[in-house]
Amino acid sequence: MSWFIHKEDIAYISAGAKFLSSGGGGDTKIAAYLLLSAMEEDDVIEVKTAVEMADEWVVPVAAAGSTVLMKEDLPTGEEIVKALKKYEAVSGRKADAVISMEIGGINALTPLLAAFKCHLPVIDGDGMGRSFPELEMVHFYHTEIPVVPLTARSKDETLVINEAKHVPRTLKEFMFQQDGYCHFACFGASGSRMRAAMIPGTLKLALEIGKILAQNASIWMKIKQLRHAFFQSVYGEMELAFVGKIRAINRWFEAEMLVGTLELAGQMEYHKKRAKLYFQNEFLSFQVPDTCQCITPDLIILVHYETGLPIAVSELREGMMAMVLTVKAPGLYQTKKMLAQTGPEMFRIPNQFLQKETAGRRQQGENWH
Amino acid sequence: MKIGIDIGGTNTHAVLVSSDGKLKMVASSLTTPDVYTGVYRSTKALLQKSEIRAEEVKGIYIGTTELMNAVYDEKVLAKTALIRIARRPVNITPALKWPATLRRLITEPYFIESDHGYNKSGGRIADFKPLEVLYQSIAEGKIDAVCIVGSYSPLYENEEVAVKNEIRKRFPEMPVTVSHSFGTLGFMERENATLLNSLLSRMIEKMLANLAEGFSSLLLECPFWLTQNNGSLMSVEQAMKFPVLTLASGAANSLKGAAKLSGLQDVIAVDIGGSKVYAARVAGGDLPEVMGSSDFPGLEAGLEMPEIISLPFGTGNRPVIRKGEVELLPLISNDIKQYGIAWGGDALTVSDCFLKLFPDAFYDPELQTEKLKYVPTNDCAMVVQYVVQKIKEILDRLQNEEKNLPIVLVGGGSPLFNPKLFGKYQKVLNPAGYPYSGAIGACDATISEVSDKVYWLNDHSKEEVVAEAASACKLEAIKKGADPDTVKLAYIEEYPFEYMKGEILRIKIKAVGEQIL
Repeated sequence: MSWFIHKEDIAYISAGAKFLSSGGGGDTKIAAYLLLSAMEEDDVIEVKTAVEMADEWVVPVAAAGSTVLMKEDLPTGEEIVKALKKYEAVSGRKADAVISMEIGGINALTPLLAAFKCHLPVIDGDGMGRSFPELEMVHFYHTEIPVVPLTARSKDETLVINEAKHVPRTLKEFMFQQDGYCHFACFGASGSRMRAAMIPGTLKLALEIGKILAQNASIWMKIKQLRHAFFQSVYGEMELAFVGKIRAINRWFEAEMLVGTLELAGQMEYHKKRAKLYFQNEFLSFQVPDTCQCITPDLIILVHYETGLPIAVSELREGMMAMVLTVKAPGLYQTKKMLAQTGPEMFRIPNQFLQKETAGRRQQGENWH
Repeated sequence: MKIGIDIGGTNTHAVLVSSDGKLKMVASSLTTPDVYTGVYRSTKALLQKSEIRAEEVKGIYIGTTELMNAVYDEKVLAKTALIRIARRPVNITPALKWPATLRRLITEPYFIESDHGYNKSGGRIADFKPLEVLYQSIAEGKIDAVCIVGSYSPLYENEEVAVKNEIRKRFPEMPVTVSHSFGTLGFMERENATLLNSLLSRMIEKMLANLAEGFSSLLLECPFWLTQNNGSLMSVEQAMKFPVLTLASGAANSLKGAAKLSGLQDVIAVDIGGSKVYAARVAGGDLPEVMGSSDFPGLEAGLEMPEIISLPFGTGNRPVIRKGEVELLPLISNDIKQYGIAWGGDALTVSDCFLKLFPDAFYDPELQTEKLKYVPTNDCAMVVQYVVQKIKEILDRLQNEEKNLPIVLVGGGSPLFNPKLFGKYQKVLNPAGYPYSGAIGACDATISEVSDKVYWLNDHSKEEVVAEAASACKLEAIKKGADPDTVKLAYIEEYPFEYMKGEILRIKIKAVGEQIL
């Protein structure tokens, strides 16, 4: 059944999308504020669910690039419309709906902006179920849906890419010659094809998570409700893995990437225990010696201990009291092909953040709730 | 001799401190709505009690929470015109998350086109025409202050400066705030900080003029300074330009003053006031700084703030117990003596509950604790437990891993908290002079300069760029009046940009020195 997103839902989706981003995914605030500034009180955006998808032409849209630069040189909100229009012109088909490539972070909201401005419905689902830094990590990339044509838009210029093998490099070059970020559309497909390729129900899940977090309730009540929300989703179970204070944050540059680690000094029933996290754009590895560990593509989510609100990699501060939640990635990401694309080898996670016997997979330990 | 003044929500405290840092005399007076009368009265009392001559006072140091309160009082705020400079119009409503009372004071943004990009500095602004409507509004008296925010201004400030000059050419007296004064990247957060500064410009102007007049009528001809959020001093001229930088100074001074009063460098300081509780970990006598602040819920201003946790209640709140849960209602007035039962009033306050359990908590000749005999002890115990629990939760967050930092309680309500309430393993101090920690902390302020800019390396090495920025920063601190022999760098922080290969770098430097008096 289709449902509608109202203006007051934007803040919830924004918080839920940040939660699902595992610490990365850009700043949801930018897109949320553009939407809140554009929408009137009674405006709505229609959402279509998997069961209703058939022959309509669905176009995924997203923004990519440097968050710092996007926050300074704000998008107008028209870039994504122009990218989509160009996509329609190049592919010769009008879009009947848009969909998110990445539900974690700002790109949960990018399609909402396109949908609102172009009067299109948005599909309840996405291409990742979380956030990852590369286009090749979108599930659509590894299906029969072709990545080209791809159309991208900066503030001043439009780009069209027709050859699949040039896509990642050409898109990056365009981004950095232009504004440091851009908006783009690609992977257009019929509804039935898209339904098989997407992670379903993630927009609704983001909304639900946002609503759970916004409640004036205890953290334990929120955790209980979050577990229930994931239980009903295509994800595996959500677990509470650790509670501790953030210590020893280290960040450095490695192959043009910001890389970092941090430690958590355990609190409450985790006292005397230490947890280690490794992150790039997102949290990629979490481990407590001898007990448990969680590794990409499974989701590692740091939240504030008092509120349950997610903490982004860019917001980490020593002394913060945090909880670590882990969620097993949806089944589509558990295949050999997707593990090769989004597992620890792809991110070159150092050995000390991998336990050999459990590398790539999570091992259930005693300390799980 | 120095005078320290702390203008709080209830009382204005003044202290006299000798040049070697000893507390000589204290005086207080109720804070008045015009601020000035309270300061005048307490300072006058201080001078009379200490019998010193006005010319012996070499400087006056002021910290206040008044500007923080003003943020929620639209009557004293300036009607502000917002000018945005960007490559394309910014389609985000200004101050989107602010209360409507504040948003109403801000004009529709005036837009000026820029051609700055992250990788190219723009030329000159081609067209100032959009400002003509603004000039008209200013001429008609509809605008009190102007706020200019340019995208990429922390990298290239020329456009903001050009627009400011255009306005000042026509209206030399108009307060104009430019966003690059606040350094950090992030258009919206910088815009919010700049807007907040503009909104406060009228209020600060009046306050400073009043204070100057008050001091000179007491024959105090020495200079006076305001303390900033980060515990350093700002001159009257600087305070006039950047009122937003004094917003959190009252709380910061009190927490630093707590450490000073206890004679310790590393403590957890807690200020218990009538309407708020502030707490922080003091390290080496100083407060760590963070971006943003929990004290401005929803204002989202990109400002460096001391790392202070606050609770939205104090000892003047009125507890009620509903379904076994404690709820704290707002104060009736800033002065608890007007309504608290133990002071002969008829409203039960948090203070009353503590006094019921600990009648000897403090000595106040006006106290009539016998009035509390009809208040049920169980209810009081519940309220005390609730309040102490909330404070203990903060203490847990601030405590180090060894859990051995002493806790120093200051502020008017602090003697109510019997150390036993915090558990027998905690070391809890309530130093004499506890009501005056804010004024004492103000006297202790240093001179500092923070430079937070983005640099392109171009043909220089990173070390060269950092060294140059560091010596420029030290020089600025000396220019502000810091003793060149004591100026040192408090920190140098480098922030590389993602995807940017280290070619572009944000460098943040703070230089600190002692003031030459």
